[in-house]
Amino acid sequence: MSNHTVLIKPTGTIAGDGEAIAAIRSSLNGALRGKPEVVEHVLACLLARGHLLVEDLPGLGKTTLAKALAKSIGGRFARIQCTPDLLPGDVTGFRVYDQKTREFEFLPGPVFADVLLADEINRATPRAQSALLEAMAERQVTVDATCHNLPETFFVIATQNPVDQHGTYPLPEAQLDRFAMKLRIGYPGRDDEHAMLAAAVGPSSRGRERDGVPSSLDPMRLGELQDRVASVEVGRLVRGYLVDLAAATRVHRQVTLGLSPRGLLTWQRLAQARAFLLDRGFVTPDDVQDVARPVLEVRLGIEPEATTRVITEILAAVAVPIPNGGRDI
Amino acid sequence: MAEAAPGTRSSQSTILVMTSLAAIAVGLAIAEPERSMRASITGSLALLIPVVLIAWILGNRTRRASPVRLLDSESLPAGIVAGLIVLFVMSYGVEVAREAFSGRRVMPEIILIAALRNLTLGMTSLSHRPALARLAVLLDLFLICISSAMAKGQVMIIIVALFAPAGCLWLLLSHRGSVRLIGPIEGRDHFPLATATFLMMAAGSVFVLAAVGPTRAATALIGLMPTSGGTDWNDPDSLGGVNDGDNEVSASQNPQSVGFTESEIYLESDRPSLYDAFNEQYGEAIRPKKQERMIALAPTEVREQKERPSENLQAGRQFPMLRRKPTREGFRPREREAKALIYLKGPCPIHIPLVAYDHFDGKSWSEAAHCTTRCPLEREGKGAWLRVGNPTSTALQGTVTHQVKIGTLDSSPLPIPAQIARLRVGSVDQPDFFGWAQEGIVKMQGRTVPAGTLIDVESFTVDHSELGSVEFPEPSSPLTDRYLASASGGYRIDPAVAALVGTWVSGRTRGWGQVESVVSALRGTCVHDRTATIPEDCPDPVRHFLLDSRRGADYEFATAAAVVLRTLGYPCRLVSGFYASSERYDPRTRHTPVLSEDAHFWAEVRLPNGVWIAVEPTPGYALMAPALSWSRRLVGVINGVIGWLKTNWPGLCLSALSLISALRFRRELADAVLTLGWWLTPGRDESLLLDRTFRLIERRSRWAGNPRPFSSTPRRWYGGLAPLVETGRPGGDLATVLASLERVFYAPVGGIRGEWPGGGDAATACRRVIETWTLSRLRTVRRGIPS
Repeated sequence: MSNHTVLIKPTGTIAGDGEAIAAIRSSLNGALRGKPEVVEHVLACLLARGHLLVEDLPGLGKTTLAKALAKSIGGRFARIQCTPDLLPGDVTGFRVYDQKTREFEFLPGPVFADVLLADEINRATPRAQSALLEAMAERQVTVDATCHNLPETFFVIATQNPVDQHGTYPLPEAQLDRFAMKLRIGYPGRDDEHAMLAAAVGPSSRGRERDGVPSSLDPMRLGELQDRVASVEVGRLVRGYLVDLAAATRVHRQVTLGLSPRGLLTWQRLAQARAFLLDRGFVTPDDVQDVARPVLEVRLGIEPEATTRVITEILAAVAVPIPNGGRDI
Repeated sequence: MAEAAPGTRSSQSTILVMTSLAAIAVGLAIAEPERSMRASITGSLALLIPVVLIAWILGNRTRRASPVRLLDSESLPAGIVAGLIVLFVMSYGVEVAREAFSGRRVMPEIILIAALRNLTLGMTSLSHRPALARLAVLLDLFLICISSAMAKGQVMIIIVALFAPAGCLWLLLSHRGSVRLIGPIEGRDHFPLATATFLMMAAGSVFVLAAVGPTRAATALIGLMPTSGGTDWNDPDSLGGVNDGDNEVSASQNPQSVGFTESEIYLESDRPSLYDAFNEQYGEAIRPKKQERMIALAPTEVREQKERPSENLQAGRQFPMLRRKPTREGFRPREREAKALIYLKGPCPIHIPLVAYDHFDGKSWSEAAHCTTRCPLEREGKGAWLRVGNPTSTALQGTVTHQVKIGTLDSSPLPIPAQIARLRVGSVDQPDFFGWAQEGIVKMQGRTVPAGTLIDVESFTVDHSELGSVEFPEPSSPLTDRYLASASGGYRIDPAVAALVGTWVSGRTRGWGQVESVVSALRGTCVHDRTATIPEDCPDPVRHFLLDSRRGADYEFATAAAVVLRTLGYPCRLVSGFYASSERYDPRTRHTPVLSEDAHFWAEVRLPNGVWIAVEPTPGYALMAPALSWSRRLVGVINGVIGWLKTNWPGLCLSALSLISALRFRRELADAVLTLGWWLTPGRDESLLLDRTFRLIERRSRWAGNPRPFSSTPRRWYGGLAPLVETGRPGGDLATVLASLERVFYAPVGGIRGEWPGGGDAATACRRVIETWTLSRLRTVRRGIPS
């Protein structure tokens, strides 16, 4: 321990990052009132280079959130409204015959965007859903044996409706594992609804909504931030804590599908993002616990009503690592 | 996550089975000998019914209320602990009550085992709590081990054979419980039935092979068990015997193994008698040189004798006090094969009278004539017990039971304690076989007691405190005259000795008090020395002992006591025999062997109602304590305690007060010590300082009854408490300390030294945290938090 010195002043971010993140945070908070914790998770997901699944009732702001995010990143935004007749080509794009050049020309689909909103994803057929698989996992699309790369900052926000399951195709586990986290937004509080109503009054509300959110980042800058998140440090104890937690998910009796290694990697990356957002250069067990719920919710095969309880049990079963006395520090 | 949660139904059932087996085994082990096996098992099963019911109800309720049992850290409610303690103590209470009611005493280890059995039953009924379940299994194992060592028989083998697989099953289940840690219990456990069955069958087949297999295999397996040995070897800790092992073991299972139990060996041999023991112990007697005289006989009286002249070995033996210095042979290291004269089982120390002497001529004691009165032995009931119609006396309180086995002693008087109430000698059930050797000493008529004879005897103990009220009339009865000074032939006590005795008893009225003062004077003023001998030309050994040497063997003490007491007018006699010392007790065989070194002399005083009471004037020897009833003992103990309290009350009050306050404020004290330690050695650098600060706060939190759950991070837990703790004080220090501590704990090694946020330094922040987060504040906070 003698060779170790204490970093008193946290230096997680470098100058300028803070402002950019604060700008996105404030714009998202403006779009989605009274849900700062959801906004934090969305930001963490974005910085961890993960995709986001938002599941909630209609009208709670899923699409608003997605659009606000796309706008604040400043990249290209695309939206797919998933229906049962959606074809894979509608997602990825397709080749058309150009009469003039007498050649097949590739028309890129909405997937070639920086932020893709897949609305009501569980209404698409498994065939169309699987078209997103490659795009989400490898950030590339293969059409007619030709590989097309997607932008590095490609980010999918999918939404789904927990009620009205009639005529839907629930996402398979493999597809779910591609999402970094699943979020629920929930109803806003009373005061937030008050403020929301007040803000909606007035003739200029439409225009304000159209161009109210300024773009505070560009995709290049986002890529830099994502790289910096990936280099946030994770200590040996915290890694052990993550492994223990993963093991705990696999022995829980109600969990049909334990955490996969890919899920564990995602969890670590999200914890890094959380530490980065808190302006810290290393991950603590608090970060791991903070992102545990959205990470586990999307990939443990649990009944929805038991999710909270099971995740609480898993967290409660694993001891937070504390070094043993002075020598270990 | 290594803690198990063995609260499942299957593991609880296994524990119930194990406890049932253990309870039955204990029931068999501690049952009274006359109780039937069926009654013992039924009794144990009756005890189990409430246990099963409680375990079932509590287990179900717990599983329903909280299906998830993650943590094993919950503490036991005080009620449960108190209940378990009551269960443990209960059997002691029951035994005390039983003793008061029926007068029968039970060995303390039996009570202890019963208490442990009750404790196990209590824990089993609460076996939905993992900690108690594990403890119950541990106690089960202990009880099975101890009872299988105490009781024998087929049933015990079956119980052990059933317990072993049940124990294995429990181990399997508890291991599974520890692996499958989290989550509710739903439906039946999927248990590896096939594997378990295979293992059990494999283990069972070994037992079957051992029991009924080919002779060679079975014999080889039996060799693994502790026995008295096979050919040419023996095991000192054996329980049963096979083959020709020479250890002394019970012949209950195999007639070839003959041991220290009742046997019918009636063989004459050259065994040592009591007088041989005397010669070995005290040296040989100095006899006057033979003086041969020629006497003319009439020719008619002269007859040629061809056969060996007959010897008179019977009566008229004497014990001269003038003896040669004893050879030291008795103190040589004894050979392993040495056998005791007798073996004694029962409370010690005890005096075993064999010969009484009533006539003293100044130098030698002569054995009393054989008692002519009929020995009042009567047959009792159907068995071989013979009851003695002892004269009643209030001093005879309570009885003790002894078992004596004749070893190498050759003696016609029975080597048994005095004041017998009833006795049983082997299977001899005829009172005619016995008679008085001397008054109070039973002998076997016309023969010596054969070696190997087992004598059970119940005798009264003497409560000396009752003797104070006995009135000794002035000597007048012709029956007692020969035990008084007037009967001592030509011997008269020396006037100087009489004067000395006068000083001993001055101020004491006639009665037992005088006897006691003589005895205590002898014990106090003279030194016991076995090697001291009286000069050959000494005219008055008593005077020599009391006035000149003040040192001598036990017969000199006893003689002095007898002579002095006779002079004072108390009927008194010298008694020789053995003194069974508790120091000789052999815990392995549970017997006290009596060797020739234990030959001993003491005196006996005759009460007016004819009871002979032993007095022990030799220092280093003790009389047996009276077996008082529990109420009298209780009164004695209470009186003793009260007396002790009266003399020591100031110190006691002080220590009690300090003990109570130390207990009451133990956490405060510990906190003060740790805080002092924190102040004195703050740590070499900031990380160590932060760590020590954190650990002190953790300890305080635990002592305040509000410990951080292990799954909660420091920031989450103490951050939640901070608004409550830091009210009215400058706050925020803990957050700063925790933020830096996180870096110490979780950041990879090699940080950057920077400025302490918010000014000041780490030491100041830590100090403020230590001053703010005190034990008392944490306690207050705990009271404020709803549970």
